[in-house]
Amino acid sequence: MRAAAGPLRAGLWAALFGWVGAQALLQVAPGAPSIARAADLWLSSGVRPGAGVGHLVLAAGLRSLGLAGSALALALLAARPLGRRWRHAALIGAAPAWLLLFFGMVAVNEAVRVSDWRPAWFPLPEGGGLAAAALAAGALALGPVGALAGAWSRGAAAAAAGDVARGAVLAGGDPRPWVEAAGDAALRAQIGAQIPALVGALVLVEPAVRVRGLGWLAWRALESRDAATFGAAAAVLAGGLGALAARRAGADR
Amino acid sequence: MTRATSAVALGILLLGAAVFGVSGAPVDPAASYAPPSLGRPLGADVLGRNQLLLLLGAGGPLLAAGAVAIAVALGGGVPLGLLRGRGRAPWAPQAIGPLGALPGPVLVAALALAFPGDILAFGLGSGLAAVEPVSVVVGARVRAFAASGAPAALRRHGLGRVRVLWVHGLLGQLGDLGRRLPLWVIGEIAVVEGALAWFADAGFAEPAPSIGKVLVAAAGGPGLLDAVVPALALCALGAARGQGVQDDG
Repeated sequence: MRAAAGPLRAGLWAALFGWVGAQALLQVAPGAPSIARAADLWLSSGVRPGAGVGHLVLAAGLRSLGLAGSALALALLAARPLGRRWRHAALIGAAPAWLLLFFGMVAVNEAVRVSDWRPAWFPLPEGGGLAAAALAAGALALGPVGALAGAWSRGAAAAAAGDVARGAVLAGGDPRPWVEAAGDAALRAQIGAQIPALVGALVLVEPAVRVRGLGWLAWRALESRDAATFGAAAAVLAGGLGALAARRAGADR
Repeated sequence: MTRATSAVALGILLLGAAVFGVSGAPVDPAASYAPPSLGRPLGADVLGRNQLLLLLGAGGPLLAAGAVAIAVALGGGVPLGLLRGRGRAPWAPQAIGPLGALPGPVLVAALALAFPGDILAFGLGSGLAAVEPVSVVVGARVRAFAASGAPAALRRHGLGRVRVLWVHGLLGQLGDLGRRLPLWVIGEIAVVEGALAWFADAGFAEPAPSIGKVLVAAAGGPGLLDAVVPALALCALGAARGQGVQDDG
């Protein structure tokens, strides 16, 4: 219980700072909302006028969580076999997720233009849909796949060159279990580090494919100068990531 | 594509910016969507501007935004790191930690959308995201110097002005930061700017050239292959940013 208090406190601080920062940003930005509009902290004034921000943020947060979770699960599934076969797997993560989506969209557009192919899901509808979510999850997964596969590969290579594996070879044993275990440990150590990067990519990808997650909500709120919704989205993002960062810092100690 | 290769790509882009500047690609309506040729290796955009010169010229705004980011990151991170290293900023994790917890792209995009098209907003967002990591790196360096026994040895030899050597040690750390920080912030700005230029039409405001807009224009034209070079430039910049100032990769 005490161990959880540190990340919880850090998360609450981060949420408060995120909310205050969002309000300050909106107040200095051109087209700032009037004080009367900004004063109502719980009701959306721009994204969906009159709707409660708690409901909007919860629904969007669950969509983002699903998308990020799917991307991370895909990455975890692919990282180990990829890291085992390719030493330079980290290269896969070099392309930004939105760039992959961009070229995916351009390619589908081109295919539709030159052929009779007319998929029902294209162009992507407002609100995303399953195809948009699948495309986004696939593109988002590539960054973590590269990082995790690279970590597995480096960990395994270091173990293969280490004393334990060499000793096992000299003793006529099989060093592979040691090497695999070292790769797995290196991969596990990298999972937490991927989450902030994944969220950074998520907030760029969601508006691009019109998935109504937290990133999409934050941008719509910012564009429509909806102080209540933008503040709530920023608080949830900052709070979650702040708690995660504190938890990782605690684990590192 | 290693980080060193990416750094070379960034160098070429910035050198191109210095050579060609903003006015390197004049408007020529007669050459709208001209195919690639010897004079225009990447073809022309809808206004007939040379895509290659636009791409090279995009380094100028990136450099300006990067300079703002570096100034903000060092201006905030170094004094805070000095305080942290000497144990005089116990409030720092609570005060600045939340800022460091937010991923850089989130801060850059939030400021860029709040102040559409403003190059300084891109730089400010990236710089704010870098304040906390820079302060952590500087603080660690200061603590390592203090724990090394060097200050006591210097005092024994009558070198009382230990603070001068603290600064020397700090400069060594700044040398590392000087290599990593520009790659990180410029890479981050380029990636976010490219994304916003696509889906929010909120990249650098005209007439500043931008890689994102060159990419979108090239992909919308008749020759899809024209988009490959801007895409590779963005990939190289994305790879160059690495994991931040503490990354050794």
